[in-house]
Amino acid sequence: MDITELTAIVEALIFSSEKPLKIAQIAELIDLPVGRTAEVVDRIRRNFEECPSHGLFLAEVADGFQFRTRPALAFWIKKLQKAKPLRLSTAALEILAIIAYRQPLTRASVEQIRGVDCGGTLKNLLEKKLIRIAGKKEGPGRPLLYATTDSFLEVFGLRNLEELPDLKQIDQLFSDK
Amino acid sequence: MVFQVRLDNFEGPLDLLLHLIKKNKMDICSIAISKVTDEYLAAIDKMKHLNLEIAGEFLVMAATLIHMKSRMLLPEIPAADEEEDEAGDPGEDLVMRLKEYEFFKQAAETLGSCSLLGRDLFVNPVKHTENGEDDELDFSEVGLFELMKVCRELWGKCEEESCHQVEVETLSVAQRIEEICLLIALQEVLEVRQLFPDRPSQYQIIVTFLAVLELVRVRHISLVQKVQFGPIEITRLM
Repeated sequence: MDITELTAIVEALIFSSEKPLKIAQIAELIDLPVGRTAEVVDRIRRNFEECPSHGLFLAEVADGFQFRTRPALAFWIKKLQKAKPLRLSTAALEILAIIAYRQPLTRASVEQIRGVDCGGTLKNLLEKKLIRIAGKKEGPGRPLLYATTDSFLEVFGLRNLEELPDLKQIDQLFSDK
Repeated sequence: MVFQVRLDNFEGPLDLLLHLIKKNKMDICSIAISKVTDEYLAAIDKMKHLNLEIAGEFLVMAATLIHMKSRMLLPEIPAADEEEDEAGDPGEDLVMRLKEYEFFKQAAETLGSCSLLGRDLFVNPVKHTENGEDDELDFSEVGLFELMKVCRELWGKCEEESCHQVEVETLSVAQRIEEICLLIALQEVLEVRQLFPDRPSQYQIIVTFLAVLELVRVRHISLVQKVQFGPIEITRLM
């Protein structure tokens, strides 16, 4: 198989996948080593990036690859889609940030940091599948623990949790206390 | 006509406090407590004026600020007050919380400014469910939260079982008090141990102890232990 054909196949695979496709998955499908597969994927990424006439770009999210429309084109897509676009309130974003950096943690811990009740927003985030219940904390009352989901990574365009901004800074801020 | 106004400006007391600190161009680590407290209370007053329901959290913070302000007015007592030391400096604690909250507020802003899927960028909405090739159910989308939701729904539909269990009270405290009074009327001094049969039940022990305590309370009897670990004696007072 020559590179042109391979590129076409991988592009089609990524396009038709429901979830972000991982390099390992692609490698298995096209029966190629992971290193070679990554090269092909990178070629596709550059193809789309370098040509401004494309409305799509190849995003690396939740440890996989996915075609997405360019952010600048949001206006046009919203005209097409009838569904309400995703909206996240300040409270929702704050709670998400706290859970993302400190997971897994309890509702009480979230509320301790924010200083206000979070029950409603927490439920909303669970319904949007941006957070999940990640077990129970050992200790009195065994309260539920919350953590972020793969959907969270997908929505925020993050490859993994290490990609969260400024993670090191907060570690420093609290490690010396 | 009643107007209901809702201000979404502040996410909570920490948010309001942070706003006041920023507004006065102060450093979190060295807040002019007096000024901030005054402004904080003024803000709460304004909320009251607008007929907003003030959440309890805002009042807790107000109390903390006033507490800090009052501590500053008092001369410092050198380490003699151990209790105070153990409770920690409310100021230090507040600075820590403010710093922490400020970080997450910024992190939230950064997250919000990302290009969000479903808001700023979109994906091909393929769904691979209609293939029908294998009938395997897809469990991946069902988590603990979904299960709990279904469970709660069903729970709501359940008819509440209306049964009330009545337990026969075999021995009441009042009854036991009467018995002890009779015993003590016959004997001037009685050992507490004598009130119990050889192998008393848990229930008997509890009721008897309650009865003895009640009699002591109404000053009908007094309990005396002459030697350490020795027998406890009951003496009649009336």
